[in-house]
Amino acid sequence: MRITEKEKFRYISGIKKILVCERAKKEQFLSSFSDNIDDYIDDHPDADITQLQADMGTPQEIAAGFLESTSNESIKRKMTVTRYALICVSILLAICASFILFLYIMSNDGGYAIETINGKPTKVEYFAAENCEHPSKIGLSDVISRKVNAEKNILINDGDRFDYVISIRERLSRNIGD
Amino acid sequence: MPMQIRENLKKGTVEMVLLHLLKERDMYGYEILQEMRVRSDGKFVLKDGSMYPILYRMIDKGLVDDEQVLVGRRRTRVYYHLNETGKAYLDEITAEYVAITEGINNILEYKGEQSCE
Repeated sequence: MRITEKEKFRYISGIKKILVCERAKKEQFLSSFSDNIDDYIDDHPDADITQLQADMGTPQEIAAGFLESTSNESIKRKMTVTRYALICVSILLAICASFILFLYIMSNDGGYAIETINGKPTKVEYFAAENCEHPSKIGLSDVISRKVNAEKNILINDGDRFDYVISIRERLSRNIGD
Repeated sequence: MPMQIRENLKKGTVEMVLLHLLKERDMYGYEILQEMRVRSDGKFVLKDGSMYPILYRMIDKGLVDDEQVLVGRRRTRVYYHLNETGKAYLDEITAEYVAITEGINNILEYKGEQSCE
């Protein structure tokens, strides 16, 4: 039985999938290899795909032979390019994530975040908004030295952060001795 | 194990064998592989995957030129041609090969110094 175009295509695709080398070299090799298959078919008109693979090698054998004959420098170059590509993608993702976070923060109506070290408040961050007063105006600008009045009005529209700030403020009040 | 030994020996000489074949005439990939098989009586056989990276390396080094030729209506073949730089390099590695095999043969055939009594 003759080798069909479909079988030939599948055979070459199998090699393409597992071959590790520079793209240009891969295309060059697969093109030459395809020509060689045509020459093989001319020489063996009755051969089937099994016989072809037995004579020319399975996709795995061909890829392994290619890798073995490829100089270490080429493999290193390929690995370096891959590594750089990964680093670039990671940096790009980090920038995108920061930008999205920034947009998220800016889109909020405003509020406060209290940074703590070992449970003690050290810093108050203020996200400006029309309906949210500056921390200094409500006694939160220097939480270490100043007593925080739990009754003071903190305008926060974000429900989650509101709970957090309130709980921190309660703890702060306890620490200070209220 | 013997196959592994043969593969290791082939690795060191395959470049020279390829260049030697191309010294005779320009050849395309499949033709090179067949020539190798026939002339070595099946003892020095390469697969496509192993030969092409070596050919590409020799092209990169400027030892071999490649030319795509249209065969028939649709088919193409890449012919490889040994250029002057390649010929000089072939002479160099052939001389090295002859020297090293001579040295190895000397070791293998060494009978030791005859003792005089």
